[in-house]
Amino acid sequence: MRPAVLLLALMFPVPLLAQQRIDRRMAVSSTASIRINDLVGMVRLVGWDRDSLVVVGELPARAGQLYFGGSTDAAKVGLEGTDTGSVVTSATLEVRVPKHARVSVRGAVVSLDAGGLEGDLDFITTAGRLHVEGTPRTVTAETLDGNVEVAGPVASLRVRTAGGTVVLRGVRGDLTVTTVSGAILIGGARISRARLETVSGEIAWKGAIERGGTLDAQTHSGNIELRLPPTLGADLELSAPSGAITSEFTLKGKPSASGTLRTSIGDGGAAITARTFRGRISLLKQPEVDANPAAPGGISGTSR
Amino acid sequence: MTGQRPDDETFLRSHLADLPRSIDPPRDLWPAIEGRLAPRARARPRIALYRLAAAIALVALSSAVTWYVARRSDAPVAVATAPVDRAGLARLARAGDIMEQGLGSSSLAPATRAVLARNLVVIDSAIAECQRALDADPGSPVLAGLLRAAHRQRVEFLQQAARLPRS
Repeated sequence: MRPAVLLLALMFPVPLLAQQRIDRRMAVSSTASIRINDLVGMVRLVGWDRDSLVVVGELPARAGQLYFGGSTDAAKVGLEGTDTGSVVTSATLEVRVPKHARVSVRGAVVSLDAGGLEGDLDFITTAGRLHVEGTPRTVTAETLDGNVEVAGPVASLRVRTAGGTVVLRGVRGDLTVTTVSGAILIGGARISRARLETVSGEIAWKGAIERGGTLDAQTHSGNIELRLPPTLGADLELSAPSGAITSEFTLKGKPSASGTLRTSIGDGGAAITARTFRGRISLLKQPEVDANPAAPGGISGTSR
Repeated sequence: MTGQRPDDETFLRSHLADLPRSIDPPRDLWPAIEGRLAPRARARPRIALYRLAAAIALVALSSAVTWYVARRSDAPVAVATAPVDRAGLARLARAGDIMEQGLGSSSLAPATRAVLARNLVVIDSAIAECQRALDADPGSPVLAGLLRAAHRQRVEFLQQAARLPRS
């Protein structure tokens, strides 16, 4: 009896194993708005020199059906009929877009690996992660538990996570990073304005601030470590009511009774504010010759 | 009955002339029939409407709070030196509470709700700790700034939750 059952099972393959081969293409303008909705698994997003939108890859049967269409100025790609009872993580799609396109990606469980983009990227997910390399004009990313890693001279960056770690390398311009418990690790930055906020995570910064620029770092219970160029001129406001403030720079003055130290290094120019309720603040001199300036600063025990 | 056959043409014509040209139905039976045929079809639009209304309310509330927070959070350095604004702190706390209640009726997945709850505990602990410290040192602008920042982070986190894709 059992061999007969086995034979029957072999004769009728399980439908779940069926894969959908995806290969869809359409012409779009070089600055088209492209919306990618509810994809699952891993999406590789590539900016290229052609004015075409291409989606290739494979999807498990339970991932649903791909919809794909729109006009030359606005196109939409997504899945419908996805089996919401099971989380599909094995899907892998490659989406090619014109490099100056404005791309918006939304999905509960989609992770994104993006490269070659020079336009705007907007990414919102619940559990996915984001990895971006290249020179997008702007990146806006929100995820609950996923990590976010951006490497490249992005001019404007907004990142928000809850538990995810944020790692940024070589970013430029205007920067806002907010987490609840995730660490914020930044290296090789050169910014005009940065706001870094976390509740229980730690903040490690290595980079320069333009003259007249601002760096505002705040955590409730984590440590703040700022590695700054030795020649940087900045006005500092450092608050650590329950922790210590240490510095490799010579700091004039002493913290007030409330734990705030207002002072300057060099000839001033930039404005740096660092606040931690329970953690400590460390100011370190960035080495003159940095073997890897884009490597994020690190607080021992925080690298993940 | 007469002796004429019912299918006799003259017989039929004479009776046909007596019939009314049209007959109105005694009452509209369709609503009752429709109700019995598809009770769920009638219920769904109402639930969908409630959900739509809840979503619109959440977005409207989120926008209002965004305006409120943005209006007050564009000068981070000044926050630490500003005098303690207890009324402002209370308003911010209330805004967060309302948003949290609104989020409770939205259609988020259980796993997502668990992540949100875990992170709200972290933020609420920070708020409680700052509040205790401020109670002990009521004039500290640094503590007031940290407390307000924690409240603002709570509001911004709930705004993020309201924007999450529904699975």
